Amino acid sequence: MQTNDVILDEVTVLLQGVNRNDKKSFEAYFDLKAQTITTYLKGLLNGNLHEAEEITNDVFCRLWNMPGKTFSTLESVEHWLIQIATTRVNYHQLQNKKARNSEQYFVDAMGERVVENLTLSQERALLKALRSEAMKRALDDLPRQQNMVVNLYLDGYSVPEISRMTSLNQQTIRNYKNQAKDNLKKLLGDLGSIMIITALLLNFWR
Amino acid sequence: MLKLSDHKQVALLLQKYIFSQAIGEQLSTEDQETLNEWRGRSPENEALFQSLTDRKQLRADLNEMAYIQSRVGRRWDQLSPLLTDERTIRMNRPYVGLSLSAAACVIGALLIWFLWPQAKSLTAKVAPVHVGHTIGELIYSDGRRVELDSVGVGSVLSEEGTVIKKIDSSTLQYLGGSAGISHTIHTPNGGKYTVILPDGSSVCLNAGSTLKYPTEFGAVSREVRLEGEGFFRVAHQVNAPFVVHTDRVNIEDLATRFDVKSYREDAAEYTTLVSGSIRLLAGEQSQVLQPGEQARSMGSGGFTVTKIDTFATTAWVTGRISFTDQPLSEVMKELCRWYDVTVTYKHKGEIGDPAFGYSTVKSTSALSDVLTHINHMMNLHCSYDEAAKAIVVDR
Repeated sequence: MQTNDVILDEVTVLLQGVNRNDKKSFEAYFDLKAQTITTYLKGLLNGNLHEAEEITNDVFCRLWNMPGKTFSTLESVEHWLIQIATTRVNYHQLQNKKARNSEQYFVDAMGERVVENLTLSQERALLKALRSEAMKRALDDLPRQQNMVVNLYLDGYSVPEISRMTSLNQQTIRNYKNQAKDNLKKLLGDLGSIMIITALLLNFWR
Repeated sequence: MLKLSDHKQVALLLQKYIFSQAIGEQLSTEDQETLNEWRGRSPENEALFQSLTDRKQLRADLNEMAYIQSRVGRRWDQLSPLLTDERTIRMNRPYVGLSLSAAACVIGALLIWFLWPQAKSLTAKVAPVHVGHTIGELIYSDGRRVELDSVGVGSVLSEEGTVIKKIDSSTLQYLGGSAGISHTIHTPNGGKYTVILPDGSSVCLNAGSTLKYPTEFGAVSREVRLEGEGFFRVAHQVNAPFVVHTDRVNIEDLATRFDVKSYREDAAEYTTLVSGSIRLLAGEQSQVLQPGEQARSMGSGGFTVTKIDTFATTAWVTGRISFTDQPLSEVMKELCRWYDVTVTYKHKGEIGDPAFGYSTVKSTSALSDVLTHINHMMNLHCSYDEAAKAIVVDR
């Protein structure tokens, strides 16, 4: 219970910091979410990482410039980031189709209408990014030996192969795997919320 | 039985499946039935399920995300200066960018108009030499060497309990380490490589650099040795400061981003702090740096600290070479490292060592283009001697 209180408090502090443009909080939130937004955008932009990173920075810049922010949850911040990121990509793609009337493009982009509903391919790219984030955060939270074993297991290596690579005996590896399993189950409650955000955002389960 | 209309529960179930799959577990019969029911509802649901749960795809996506995460710090460094109380900065930026681009185009067109014959004759002399990006080698504790170009993305390397994975064409990540085992990563001239250390800290090595590090850090300290140039992004650990040893100084920090340039052939060493706080030690001398400061160290002679544009200094990390008022000799040294060539001077006495002013060059630029640019900027006649693999600088 006490642990939950501490986590809740950190989240509140982070949210308040983002709302009032506290630079350190903003950096912490960028560190937490930029990878997911970039991964999502990369999926939409046919693997163009450079563009995805540029748009990610642009979207966070717009979050900073948003006057009088009153987000009530970090999830609502994320929701907003995803909407703006998607809107930017739509305009980016529109720009590529159009002859380069750059001035008109930027006028459009500034006065753009925020995307309300994602297309099916956008939903999928977003879900994949959120799934990767949930998994990565869960793995990152595991003690290092357990993290290593699960990583190698995901790569398709068998217990004897992992044993040979890591110089650990097979029983130790099985123990790490079991401990990892328990830890991942505990984390499921927290990290499941990442997918729930999507569930609330989208209507993909038709 | 779960109600399939309940989005939250389906999301949880899907997440549970992915987690279970990662550790080779099965869902309970009830959960599995519910999931199957949802999958059977539409081809879209089934396609989505497949794309989210394919293990190979998940593995590839996790590698990709680790690589993207390793670049997030650098992205923040680019974003941070734009985040000020002046809300209009970013809004105006596209127009500023357009204006600058337009101005650059006009100037470029004029330059080509006036200098075309000269440019044509110069570029004709030089071969299309490009900067290498992903060349590097890993040296095991027993001296064995692995050319990292020959290792496929996603492959796992190991040595006595140390497990390393190549997560991208230019990035190695340590999954596990062993006490007492040290590794070295080396980039030759023309190379560049990033390593994510066992504690999560990452180091991007510039051309002609070597980093030696333990594959498992101790509980109270994390120490590495650098020769050449590296951009460090240190993971925070309260009780274990991160220390970079070079020939001339030791650099201590807790959680920060900084660049260290310590080539043996250079007269001085430069440490640039992008964010956080670091302390430099050289013999009895000590110096604390603030963000935006660069310390120049000659060894035992202490430090000279100046305010600088950290973005220009660390531009190489994102694939640009940036020069700010550097003497020609320094510019040539950088080019030699980046393009893996040498330099010779004709009439050196007459040329002297003029300052270059400000310029930035994309790493994808051919050497010929860079030399043409230098010729225009400094009124020189630099060319590339392909047989000698050397830049020839002439008046």
